Amino acid sequence: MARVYLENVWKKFGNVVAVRDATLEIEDKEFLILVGPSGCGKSTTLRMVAGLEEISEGNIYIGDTLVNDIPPKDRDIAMVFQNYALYPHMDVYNNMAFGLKLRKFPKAEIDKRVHEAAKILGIENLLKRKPKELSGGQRQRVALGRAIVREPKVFLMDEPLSNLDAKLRVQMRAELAKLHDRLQTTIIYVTHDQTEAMTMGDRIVVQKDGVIQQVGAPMEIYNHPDNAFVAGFIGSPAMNFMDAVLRKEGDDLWVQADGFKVKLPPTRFETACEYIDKEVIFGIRPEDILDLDFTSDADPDLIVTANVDVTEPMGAEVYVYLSAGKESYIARVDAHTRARPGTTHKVVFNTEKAHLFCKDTEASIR
Amino acid sequence: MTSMKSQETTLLTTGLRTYSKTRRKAMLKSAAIHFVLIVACIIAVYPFLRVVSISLRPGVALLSTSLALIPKGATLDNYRTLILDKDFTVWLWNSLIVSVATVLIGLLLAATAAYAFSRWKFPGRRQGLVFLLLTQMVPPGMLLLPIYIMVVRLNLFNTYTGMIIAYSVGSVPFSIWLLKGYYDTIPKELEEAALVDGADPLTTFYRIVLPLAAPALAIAGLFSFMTAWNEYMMARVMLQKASMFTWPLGFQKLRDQFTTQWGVFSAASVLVAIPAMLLFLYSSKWLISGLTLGGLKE
Repeated sequence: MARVYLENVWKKFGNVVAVRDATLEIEDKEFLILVGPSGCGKSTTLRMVAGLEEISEGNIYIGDTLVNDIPPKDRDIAMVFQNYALYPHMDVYNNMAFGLKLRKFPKAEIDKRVHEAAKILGIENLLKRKPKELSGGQRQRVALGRAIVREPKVFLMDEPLSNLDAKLRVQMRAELAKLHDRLQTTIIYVTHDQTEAMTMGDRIVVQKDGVIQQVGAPMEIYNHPDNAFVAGFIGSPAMNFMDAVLRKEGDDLWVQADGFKVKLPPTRFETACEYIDKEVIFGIRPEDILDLDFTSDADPDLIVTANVDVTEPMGAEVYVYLSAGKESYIARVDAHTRARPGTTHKVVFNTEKAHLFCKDTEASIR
Repeated sequence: MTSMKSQETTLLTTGLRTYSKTRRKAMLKSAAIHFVLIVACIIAVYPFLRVVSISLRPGVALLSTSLALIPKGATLDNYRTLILDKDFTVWLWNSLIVSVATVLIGLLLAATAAYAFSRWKFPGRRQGLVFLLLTQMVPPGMLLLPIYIMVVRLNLFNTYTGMIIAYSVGSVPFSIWLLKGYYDTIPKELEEAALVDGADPLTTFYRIVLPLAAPALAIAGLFSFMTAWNEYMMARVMLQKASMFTWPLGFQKLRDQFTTQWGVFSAASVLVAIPAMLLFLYSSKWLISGLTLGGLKE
């Protein structure tokens, strides 16, 4: 168990910058998620911590040790790869025991650890099988088992669930979270799946084009995104963005977009006053667009009439695709909504929870 | 109800008809494949059986035109003559030493060099690979003189070492290409997993990469062995001492100026085929594909 510290880390492949000036502190026993779209540098960051990728500039510390020039084998880390990377010529037992054998552990200790890990992961009956005789989920467990037996300071996981089917992924997600509670080890987990990011980690790091966009607890990032990219990346369905202009009418602040005009709460006045009569990006999450039919005492200044383009029933709720003027947006409403495609429907914009972003920098206005 | 039953019967009949048609087609296909394979086997095996047959003939029937595979009065006299009266065992021993050493040295050099070519980027890598390929385009006859001169100057004339070096020169470049191509198909993640697990690069190479490359190593080994085992021209130039002769040179001695002992010659041909056959049989278990199956998500 150890903290991991990245200090102004850069990674360049020729002229391409994969990771730009990353500074990040991962606490001891923390479950940290690196999330971002493909090519954002999250896997490269993880591989640099593992020692599989050289650092172009900066320092990486595991515990108090500077590990820049320490080979992977001496970093006391274990890694779970996206595609499992099990040794095909060894059975499950030997796959799990390989690292311990290399470190010259006594046979009895190896046996004990492998059986313990196998028991935790429910793969005791598979120890004699070769990887090709296992299903995807079983292989994933073996890959996890191979990491667990090592009892390393830090676990590194590179999209370990991305090759599993949806059902198994949900199951393994919960199991990994449980495993973290049980092992109490630092875990750095890379994913492009924002649901995994939201549900599993203590903190999330959102990356884009090699740059860390925001670091914070899942709900903090969800509720207070630093910029439009983070706001759009975290949350499903994604946040709605609309081009708008801020207007001041009397003491009130209004958001004027093509097709609707809604009032902002007075609390926004202080932060947004410098943007009056300027273009901004108005962001609102689908669950903050409410169905008027289910909203009592709705403020008339927040009601918008929109055309219903498509409805997607999800069981407990319905995603309603709306349009007004040239703007389109999604509302997440009650399953009993009367919204039907081809009709108009009244919705309420909960501007208390809406977001404003600077049109030029896309930074959050708050 | 009746109409539903008749509909079911029709469906069942159609289904059965389609099934038996597909089955018939599959059986015909299988029969055709078997026929072609059996003919190919006969074409391949028959000449060898003729040689076995000639080797068993008694001296008086050597020039017989009989096609019987086991000749009348079959005898092992030719084998006895070959082993007891000729230097056959010496030739065989010499060939074995040279061939096995060529395989071992060739594989050691090729397996490591190919790994470097496959995994690392270094100055001259591309040129090196092209150069190795070019060496395969030079006819072996052209290399005779330069190799002869080098071997004489290095005092390796009439020695095993000289022969082994000469044969390795021919087989190593091919093996490097073969193994490099195979290494390229072994996922890098397996090596990375081993590095993280605590292996150094050398351990990763021999504990992970080499076992997975067994099929390619077996082919490279077989190729090197057969190159050295059957080679005549180079041996003819480089070996003059009779005690150093490999079997292709020794066989030459079975042919006198006026007569050829075809019975003994055939017996020798049968015996030298045995090590090669055994080697093929032994390596066949390594020549299985899909050794890396299951290690990664396909």
